[in-house]
Amino acid sequence: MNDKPASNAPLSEEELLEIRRAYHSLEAFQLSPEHREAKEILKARLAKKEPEKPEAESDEK
Amino acid sequence: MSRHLLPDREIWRLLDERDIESPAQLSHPDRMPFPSTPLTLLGRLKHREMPRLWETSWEEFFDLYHNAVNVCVLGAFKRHDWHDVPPPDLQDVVLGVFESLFRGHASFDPAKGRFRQFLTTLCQRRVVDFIRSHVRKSSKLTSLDSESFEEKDIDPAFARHSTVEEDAFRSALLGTLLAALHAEVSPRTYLIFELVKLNGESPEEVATQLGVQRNVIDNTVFKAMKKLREISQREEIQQEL
Repeated sequence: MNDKPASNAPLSEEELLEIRRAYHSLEAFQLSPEHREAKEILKARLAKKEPEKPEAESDEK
Repeated sequence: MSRHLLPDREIWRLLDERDIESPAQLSHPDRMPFPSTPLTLLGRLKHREMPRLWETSWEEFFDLYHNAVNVCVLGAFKRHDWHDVPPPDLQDVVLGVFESLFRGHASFDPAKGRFRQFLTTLCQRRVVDFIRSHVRKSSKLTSLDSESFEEKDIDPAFARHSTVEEDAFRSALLGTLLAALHAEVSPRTYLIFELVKLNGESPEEVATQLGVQRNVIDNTVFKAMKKLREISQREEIQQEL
């Protein structure tokens, strides 16, 4: 898709195929118990008050 | 995938009140301003003083990038020869990556490189933090040299993505592209596009379901495909692709 020249033409079916695959793959992952559970845990973590020293040591560089 | 991407009047109202606007967004009161790129989505994540907007934004971002970050964190562990990280620990590190982003501890500067590189580096740093903390806790792991993690962490060669990681990031970006389409066309146009082009339903069936003429479906799909082309050619998307 990134090699295509700028144009006003609609997306080709071939280009759409990759988008369709990504759509279904993301959809399947988003519906998985793993993703849902992780989202709930993350929600709970984000709801907690910010720790006093939030910066992890490797971010300090 | 699209349910959470539906327009939200409340968020639009909040944005309006805060004067965060563009003429295109304000001319369409039913439509929520939606990021066309990871950049604008990240921009929305900065507005923690607007809890509803912030929460919607992180959820959208998490939905799009969770798999990519999972794959990337797993890859980073493997590069450090940590092959059997227990799933709860893996999840903890993955969520740590998102927490760093959503709490604003790590911020992306487009001048310094591509977004996927930034996210990869962040994944590697959280993995290094995890390994360091376990090296300290366990005498069995003292053979691991923490300094070498730092060197690897900043080595561009080490930061190269595997094919699996590339694929996962590409999927996330293509998902972002669809989200942009969703934001920039009417809900009905997106629905028709989704049914016909993503779910593979026949235009005739969709026309019957929606009670419209077949040519309405064809024209709508054509317009959506054209819009998708336009979005995919935007500079920020091209840089990431």
